[in-house]
Amino acid sequence: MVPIIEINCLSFTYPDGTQALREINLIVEAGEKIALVGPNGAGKSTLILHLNGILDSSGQVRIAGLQVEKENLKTIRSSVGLVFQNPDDQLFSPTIYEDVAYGPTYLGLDKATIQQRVEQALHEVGMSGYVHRNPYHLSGGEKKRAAIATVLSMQPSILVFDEPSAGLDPRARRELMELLARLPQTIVIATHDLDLALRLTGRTIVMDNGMIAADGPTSSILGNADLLLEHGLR
Amino acid sequence: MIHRADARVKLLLTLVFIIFISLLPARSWAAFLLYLSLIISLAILSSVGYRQVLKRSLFALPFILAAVPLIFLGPLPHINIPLAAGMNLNVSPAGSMRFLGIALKSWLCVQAAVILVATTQFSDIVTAMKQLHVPPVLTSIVGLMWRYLFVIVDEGQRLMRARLSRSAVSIHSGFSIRKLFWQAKVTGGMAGSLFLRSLERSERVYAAMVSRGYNVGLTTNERSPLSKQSWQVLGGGCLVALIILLFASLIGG
Repeated sequence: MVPIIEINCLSFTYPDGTQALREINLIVEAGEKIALVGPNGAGKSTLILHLNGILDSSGQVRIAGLQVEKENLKTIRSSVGLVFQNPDDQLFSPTIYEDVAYGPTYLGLDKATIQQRVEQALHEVGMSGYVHRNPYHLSGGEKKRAAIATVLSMQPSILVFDEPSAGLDPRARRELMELLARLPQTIVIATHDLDLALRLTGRTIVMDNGMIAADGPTSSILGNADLLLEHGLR
Repeated sequence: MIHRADARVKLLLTLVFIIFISLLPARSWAAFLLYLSLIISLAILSSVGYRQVLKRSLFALPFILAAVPLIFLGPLPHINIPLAAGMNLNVSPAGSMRFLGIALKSWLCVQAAVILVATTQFSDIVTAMKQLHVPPVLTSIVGLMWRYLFVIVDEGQRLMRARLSRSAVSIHSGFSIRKLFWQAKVTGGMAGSLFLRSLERSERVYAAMVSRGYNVGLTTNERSPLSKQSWQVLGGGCLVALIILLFASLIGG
């Protein structure tokens, strides 16, 4: 079977000269739940932005066998759902409905399908009653769930989260973890929250200095105290 | 009633009003009065309230300033107004009239626009523009400007809050040139960092939009023809504007 994510020799340097990724190679099978951990500035977010072609550089990224390049971007962006760290970056419409309908609208779906997708996505994150609310007036946890709904409405096969539990209170964090555990998609979570990684993912990738430092089952990686210490994770 | 009217009709009528107001001769005071009464009645009908419209129309003030030189540099003859010993102010009566005309016109136009914005959701205005075949690049710019306006205001508020929470002593207590200089420096720094932060934030917002398939050229409007009633309103509005223009040119500006 074709791997759902395949990265070959991916390197990336920011315009200011910072080399953020150095020859990354990675294969992810469909249905895997993966944690991407590493210190600040390790390249996690940069790697994530390559998965749907927001950043583009030397090397190869394939999503379900499809090369990430200009002609395929529309297909790839509808199959890779990115949930950004700050929900305020993702919610920008006057109402939740418009925000969740945003992706499907740009997919060119008809009105009835959009409506149905919005309702389904909001139902999945437990926010059915929020259709006409203004995103600015929600709590942090609600914003996070709404941001997830804006991506779910595109019905992606891969979900990518950047620091999903950052800034959430314990209950919102627990509700988020329950939600993530329910989602059937292939999931990549970039996080510093090792407890969340342990509970939700079966495989952990440790990144440091733009490279993959370790890759293996979450339980054994997080059980390796020396490794964690070496890469600033404890 | 006005809130629910088709956004295209409102947008077009506002444009028609603005064009016809600009076409009026400079000294058609009666016509200005007619437009003013029209705007007041619209404000009352739409339950926006004329006071609100008046308040927002103050935005027009800075633009009016551009016409101020007309008062002094308008056509001859000039009148000398003695100010103090040896100082005279040259004022052109014709120029002053022209200034007053320009000021009133721009003020009326801004009021019409204020009513449009107060009675129409912004996204509806953008949609209406798309439906009226305004080029997608322009509608995108308008839409994004609106979106980023909030981003900038948001960042600005955060900066102000952080600054206030570190300003233990009120900045208004006491005054010294050095303090003023220092405050100016801080404010300059804040403006710079506001720019950088907004820039970075807007990049992230844009990335989030692109991730969900945003594309400038892509428009997603389903075209519905204007209803018969909308046509009537549109036609009626144009007729009123036309009549006021005729009336103004008949009584002679």
